[in-house]
Amino acid sequence: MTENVHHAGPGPGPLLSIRELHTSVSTRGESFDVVRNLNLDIYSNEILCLVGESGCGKSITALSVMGLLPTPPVRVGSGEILFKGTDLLKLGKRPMRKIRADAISMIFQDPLTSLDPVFTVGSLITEVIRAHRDMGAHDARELAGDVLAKVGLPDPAKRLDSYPHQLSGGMRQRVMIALALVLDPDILIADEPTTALDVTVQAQILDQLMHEQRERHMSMLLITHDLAVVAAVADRVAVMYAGEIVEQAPVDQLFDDPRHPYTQGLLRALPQVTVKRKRLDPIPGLVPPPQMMPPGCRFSPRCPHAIETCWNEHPDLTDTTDNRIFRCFNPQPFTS
Amino acid sequence: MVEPTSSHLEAWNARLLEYEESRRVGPVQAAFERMRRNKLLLLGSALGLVVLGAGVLGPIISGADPTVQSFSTTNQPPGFEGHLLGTDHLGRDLAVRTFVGIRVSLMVAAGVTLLSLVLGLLLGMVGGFLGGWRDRTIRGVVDFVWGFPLILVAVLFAGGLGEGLFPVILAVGLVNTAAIARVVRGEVLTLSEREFIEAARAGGLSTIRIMTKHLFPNILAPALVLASYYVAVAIIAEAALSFIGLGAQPPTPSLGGMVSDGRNFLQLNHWGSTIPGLTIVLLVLAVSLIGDGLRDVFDPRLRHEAKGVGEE
Amino acid sequence: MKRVIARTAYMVIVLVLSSIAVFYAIRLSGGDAVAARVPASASAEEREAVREQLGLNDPFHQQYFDYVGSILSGDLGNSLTNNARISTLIAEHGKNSLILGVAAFVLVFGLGIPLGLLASLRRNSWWDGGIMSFSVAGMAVPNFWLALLAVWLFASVLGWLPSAGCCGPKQLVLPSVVLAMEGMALTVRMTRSAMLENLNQDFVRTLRAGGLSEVRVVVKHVFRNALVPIVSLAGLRIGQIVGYALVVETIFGWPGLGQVLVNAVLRRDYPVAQFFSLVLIAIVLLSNWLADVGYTVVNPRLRKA
Repeated sequence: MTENVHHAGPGPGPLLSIRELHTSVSTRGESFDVVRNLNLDIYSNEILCLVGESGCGKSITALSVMGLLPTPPVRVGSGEILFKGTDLLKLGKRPMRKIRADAISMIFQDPLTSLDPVFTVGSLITEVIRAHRDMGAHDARELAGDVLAKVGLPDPAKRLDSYPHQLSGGMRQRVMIALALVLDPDILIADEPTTALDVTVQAQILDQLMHEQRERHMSMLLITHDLAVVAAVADRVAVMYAGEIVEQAPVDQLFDDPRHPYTQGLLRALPQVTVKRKRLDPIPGLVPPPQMMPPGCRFSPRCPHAIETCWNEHPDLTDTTDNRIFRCFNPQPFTS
Repeated sequence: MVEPTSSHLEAWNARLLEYEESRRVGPVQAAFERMRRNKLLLLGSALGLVVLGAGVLGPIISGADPTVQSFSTTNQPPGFEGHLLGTDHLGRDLAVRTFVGIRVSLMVAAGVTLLSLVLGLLLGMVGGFLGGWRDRTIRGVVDFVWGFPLILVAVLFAGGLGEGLFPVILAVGLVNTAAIARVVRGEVLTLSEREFIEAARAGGLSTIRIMTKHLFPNILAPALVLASYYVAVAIIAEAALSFIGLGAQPPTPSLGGMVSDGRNFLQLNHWGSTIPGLTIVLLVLAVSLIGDGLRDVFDPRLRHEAKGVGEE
Repeated sequence: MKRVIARTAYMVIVLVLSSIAVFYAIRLSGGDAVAARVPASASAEEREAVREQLGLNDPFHQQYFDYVGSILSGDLGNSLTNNARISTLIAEHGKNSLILGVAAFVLVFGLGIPLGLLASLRRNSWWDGGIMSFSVAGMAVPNFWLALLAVWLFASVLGWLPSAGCCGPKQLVLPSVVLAMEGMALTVRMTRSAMLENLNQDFVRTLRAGGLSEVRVVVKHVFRNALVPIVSLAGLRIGQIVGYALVVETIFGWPGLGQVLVNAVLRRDYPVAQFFSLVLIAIVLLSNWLADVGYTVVNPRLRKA
């Protein structure tokens, strides 16, 4: 177990620190980890991107932080999630509820199904406000209108009385953002916030999120599978593969000099508009099912540089002399 | 790539393949598996076989006449002088009457199912596939009939046509037609969007041909499953109507009528009413368990559709 | 709003069509109407005179308009069997039916919904198992037999409640419970499955992420969404109560509209059968219409932007 040496409150230490998190799924007697030994720090005022293919454990990590795992079948096995020095996993139901939306907020992928269809936008936002603040209905409604205006919803006063189905996808996602930001949280977790939207709307929503992050000096954990989004938005990046973090680096270093073969593969598979290549270069094979992980490195079956050790032993995250973190026995220089 | 790696890779791929094989089941196998695991369906089928067997074989084996009266041995309990289930208030053999009553119930159910299936398929397919004013008309009529209480319709029919099994079959059949037509129409609308119907249309097949050759086979299974669900509804309705005297007329033994006959002699011999009553419960239970089970096994999507329609 | 107007127009059209159908069906067996008024020994001329007097020789549409006219003027005619005025019959028996129907309605929803809620919130517990078994039994046992069993147990054996009669609270218990049983069983089932379905929706996660208490999420939001399908089929439930009232009133000797209609059909009392049919059809249509309006209220997705 890692000692709790992190500073409480603002300062050089991380705002949120996930320590050795194991989250597992149990179905019909078998139980397996979907997040394995995950360490991740989020510092104040930064945008950290968590990247990986679907099913690699990104969303489960986020839901573990929020305490919103669908239990059963998914539950945290062990680890610590320290927010300003408090372990969220040890918090009771009521104090955890106070954390949500007020200190740590989350927005979700599909804005169509993520808003209660039978209540107006205004009543949804006021309800969240009044769950946390001792505020009259009138003031809460005013605040809701303000935040809707801030997140760029056109005609916010009128929209307070709209039902979710009366809004477009982009507008609904703005409502989700308003709902998450209305109490000025320290951390915003955005789980694939643009995946379900049209390309042009995607850019607008991302822009809005970056704007809000700068304005409010909050931290943002952006979960995505889209490297283009990462390049545009991130300060730091953590790459996940099969439930583990395989590489972590500041965004420029990650794109210039990826160390882990999986990161390298992701970058090679990225279609580039400017460079005309003969063909795309996908990573061969599939992510192994979580019940059936390779004995050694989890990436070994798909890795072009796998050596004997990779098949037999599980690599640890290494801190190198140039302060890069990745999980590989046989790192090779990146060639695109 | 170095040699050991590729042999590791082969071993890994083999393991992965084996694992996937162990998880995969074919569609037929999966249906069987679900059927086997579906204990309610098994229970329902067993129950259904027993009741059905009693209805089909009972009268043949006993050979007794369900209408023969004997005023010296009325209202006797089960086991009395060779009467397996006793006698009723006119001294008729209850066992034989119950067996024949099951037959009557099943005949009504068969008539209702046939009527509602044929009409429901026709209306649903025409409305869903042709659209336009035909669809609007059919939907208007179907929605109206669907929202109507079965018993009231049957009483109205009995008022117009006189008491008997025919108005009962007609009334229940028409109301169930509406339920089936609704679902068939929905299915047809979904199917019409599918590629093979598009292709058939693009290929210049006639409307009739597309409907009979391509739509019909795909609609039949869900319609049958749904129809099986309504068999229970038909049985209960017939029993209730016979009970209040608007269904089967004497001397035809019907379960509902027998319950009614027996209720005036509850103190003397409650079996006269209990036996046909229990038989109805078993029959309905068997039929609805089978219907529920079939739906779960073959068409889980229909669950939602049928949720609100178990009435009357 | 547009939807409500369309449904209202639809209801009126259907009511008119039904009245024509009922009228025609009764006329089909109209010969008996004459037989009921003249002695069996009457001559052909005498019969013909009665036919003429009753307007049975007029063209069909003429007869129909006459009938509608007499209804609108409040002259509903008399019963053939006991010569009671139909308007008096409607008023007396309508009140009794209303009492019984409202009691059953309250049981179907007032008891069905809470039981379904309890089953969904205590899923896979003994509560759930017990409530769902009760629900399956409620659907499989035909209500007329249930009525007999209830009378036998509570009236004959235990002597707690009267077996028949009208219209005190004690007499009301058995008929209303029997009348409500199947609808209640269905409501329990629907409530449970709608709750479970909505508990799995994405919006529940959003609300939890907003820091709302679990009670609020479930009671205010999940339940409110689960109400949508329940209300959408409320019309069917009411129709079901009307339909079963015919059986249950007959069994318990509850002097309501249903009992009168069944007796009228059995005794070929055509004027009564005709008008009571129309009244019950109108009640069913009205309840469907009410449920439809209710559905528009609980489901904002049907309202325009």
